[in-house]
Amino acid sequence: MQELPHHYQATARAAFDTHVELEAANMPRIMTAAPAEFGGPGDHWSPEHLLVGTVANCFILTFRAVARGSRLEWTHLECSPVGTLERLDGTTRFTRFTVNVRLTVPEGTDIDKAERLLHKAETGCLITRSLVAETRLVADIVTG
Amino acid sequence: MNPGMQELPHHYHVSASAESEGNVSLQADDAPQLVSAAASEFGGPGDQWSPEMLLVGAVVDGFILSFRAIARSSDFAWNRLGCSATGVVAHVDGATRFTEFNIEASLTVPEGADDENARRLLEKARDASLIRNSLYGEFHLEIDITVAT
Repeated sequence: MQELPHHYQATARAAFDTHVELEAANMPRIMTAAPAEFGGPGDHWSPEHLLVGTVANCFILTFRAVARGSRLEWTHLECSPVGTLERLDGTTRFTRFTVNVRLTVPEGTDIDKAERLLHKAETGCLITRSLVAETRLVADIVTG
Repeated sequence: MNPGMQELPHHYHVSASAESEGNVSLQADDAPQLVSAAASEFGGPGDQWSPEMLLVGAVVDGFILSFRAIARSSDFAWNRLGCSATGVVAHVDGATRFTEFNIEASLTVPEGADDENARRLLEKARDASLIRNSLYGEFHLEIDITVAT
């Protein structure tokens, strides 16, 4: 890890009624639009989906680092968060994220340890720490 | 309220999966799959969207769409909007998190547009953005307005 602080930069551009193009150095361009919930087409990434996606993504990458540090073997991790957007105290914002995860570990794995590390990943994720919303982890651990 | 907007609350679902090594794949509704990896600052390859970059992307994307909705409801005509956002991750109060976001907005407007009104609407878009309202950290906005030739 490089020393903090880090500076992350992304660029977006749009004309009056086109999709929004999202770019960052060396990365594939993402075409985005408003979500269907706001009258958008529903077949592009939206800011709302990017935000929920980054919660999932950060959880997985944090868990990977935590598991490596604790020498926990695992084979597969699925993370499916649901972000709830509502109006609270006159402001529309994400108020909670339910982070549903399904972790597959080899036979004989210490399940309590795996569960503890999943919770550690939840509290260690820098994205959820940057969010005002509450986060709740719902974990399912299977062997196979 | 935007006429096409569904009633709140909304529930947004995304799923991600990964093995113990390699990229993370992200899927949302009917959107194309997005491949992600750790940021180069965290030892990743630097050629895929990372959680940190996606968050900054959501900020700048949300700002543009917020401006579009506000401009439409104010009957304000504009041509193009380009925005660059920088998010700063730092260690504060014992935790590593985003502490500030700096947005540089370049708006192109038709000849005769009200410059002050354009600035006011851009500032309103910053304050109304639901992504901004969902995050800790300070938000700074720099505005450049150009008249289309």
